[in-house]
Amino acid sequence: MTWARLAFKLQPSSIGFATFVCLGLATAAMWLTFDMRSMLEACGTPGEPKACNVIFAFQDTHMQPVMMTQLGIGLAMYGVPIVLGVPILTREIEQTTAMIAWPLAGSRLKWLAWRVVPVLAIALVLIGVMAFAAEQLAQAYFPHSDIGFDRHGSRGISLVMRSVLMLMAAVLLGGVIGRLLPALLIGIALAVGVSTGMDAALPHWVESAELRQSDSMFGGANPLRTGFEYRAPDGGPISDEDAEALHQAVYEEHDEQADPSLLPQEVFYGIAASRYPEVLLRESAAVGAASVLIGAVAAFVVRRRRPE
Amino acid sequence: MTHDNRDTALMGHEIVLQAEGLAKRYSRRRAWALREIDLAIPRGGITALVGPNAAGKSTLIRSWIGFEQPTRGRAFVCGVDAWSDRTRALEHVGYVSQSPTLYDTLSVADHLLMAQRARASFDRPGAERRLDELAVPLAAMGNELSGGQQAQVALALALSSRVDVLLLDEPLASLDPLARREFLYLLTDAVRTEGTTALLSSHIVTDIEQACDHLIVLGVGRLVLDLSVADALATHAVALDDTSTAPIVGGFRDTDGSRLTVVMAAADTPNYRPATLEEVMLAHLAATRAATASERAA
Repeated sequence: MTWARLAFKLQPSSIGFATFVCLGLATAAMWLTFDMRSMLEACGTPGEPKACNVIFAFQDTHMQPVMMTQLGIGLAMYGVPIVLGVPILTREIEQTTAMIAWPLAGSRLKWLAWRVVPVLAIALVLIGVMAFAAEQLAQAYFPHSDIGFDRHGSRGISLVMRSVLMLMAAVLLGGVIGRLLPALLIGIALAVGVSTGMDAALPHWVESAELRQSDSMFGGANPLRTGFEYRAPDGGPISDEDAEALHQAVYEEHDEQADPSLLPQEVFYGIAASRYPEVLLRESAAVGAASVLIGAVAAFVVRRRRPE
Repeated sequence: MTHDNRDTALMGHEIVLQAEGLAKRYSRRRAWALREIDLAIPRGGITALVGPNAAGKSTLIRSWIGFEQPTRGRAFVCGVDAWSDRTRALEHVGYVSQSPTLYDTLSVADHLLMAQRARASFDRPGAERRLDELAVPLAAMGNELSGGQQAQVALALALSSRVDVLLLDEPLASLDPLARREFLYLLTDAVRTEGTTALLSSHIVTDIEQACDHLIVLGVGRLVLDLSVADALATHAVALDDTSTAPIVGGFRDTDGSRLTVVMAAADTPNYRPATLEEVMLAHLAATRAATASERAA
């Protein structure tokens, strides 16, 4: 507890900021969640009230605050780790307190663990609460349906894991650069890179396959679509231009009563929502491993670098 | 005293700080900060490490504290390599930097608590007692203390770690005269009562000559002088006229414009007067500077 108390006293403003942002967004998300659930719970079930049309209109009125809250969570999941992680080393180096702390601690690894672990624990609690609220909010918007990949990365476990990755990257960045402002600015650019990279990696955690009709329909479970192609009535793949030409030819020949089996078929590729837990598990394992690796590199940097 | 003589004098003494062919160059474009330094400092006493700016004093101390990786050679603390086995070497060392900065948001008591958690051997009551004597309030935050008080806290942290060696890198530079006296009092008291070895660097000899019993002079990264203060004063003198036949150490211009020549001679010899420690140092530095200039010209 002593280390945790000292660690908190070393970063009171950044921990205060993180607490305010995370708990503020979590509160907003939970308020919207309860509000929507109280109205939407009965809709979408057998024998739903006739008023559901009105209620869905109410859902539309919630769209903007929900989107704003989700945007805030999307920014906070990267911003909070940067604000918490970058100052751990930069402030020590800029203010030359490392020149007292490092010789006193003896082992720099022990010192780094003392500085990082309490902050990581605080971040896990705050971001965990925010991730839980984001998960509830995403679920509440579409009650009684599997949201699958919808808002993946900005709710639940995936949010927590990405934030931990960003926190470790922020610690490393602070150790390499050693100056607060440049490290914060580079951290923001890095966050954009991490977010883009994670989204780009998402379709590759499991192999994509042709989606069944039920998987690809709106209103059903939300799959991750990775590709699309047209197929000729005989099942062979055709280009977009050929599909367009075939469409026109069939409608010119049969007017509006064209037999659907003569039209080119739209085929979607992707990952079915039923495989979401598998994707989540693989991504979490990979991101967790990357976080440990980055932490090890940060430890190497701290071991080698000068204290100012 | 030559280095061979020093080696003989060290026989039978435990060496706590040692440099073997220690050389440091920060980059290929820059000059050597340290050149082939061979040194051995025995346990006990206060050794002054003096030299002008950029002489390599801080680099030498930072090599012993494990802040700098030697380009060549090795630095040892109590027989432990300070770079490759830094954690073990640091168990023996306390360090105070030139302008020690405490954590702004931690109180003095928090600093002591941190030190206690970091080092099992840390003597917290002892540190509190020392700071109390100096009227440094334990409840004060780091940013509420003056530079002198921060240095006192840093020294108390280092002293109370119950280490074998204290490395003090120009800690007096930013202190006012009263704070310097108090700092030196705290240091000499600890060294005499606890048997700690201290290496105190400064570019102003008069600051530290009363507290130190051994002198090491560095100039342009080279070891210029390594002998006891008593020997330095006994074997150097200032020539009062041009008739001196004693070996000349070096000459330099004094503040009044006159030229002083320091020679290797007993101070009580006729036509000589005792040299001050600062004059001894300046003469050796002047000789080193001249030798370096000739090397460059060659």
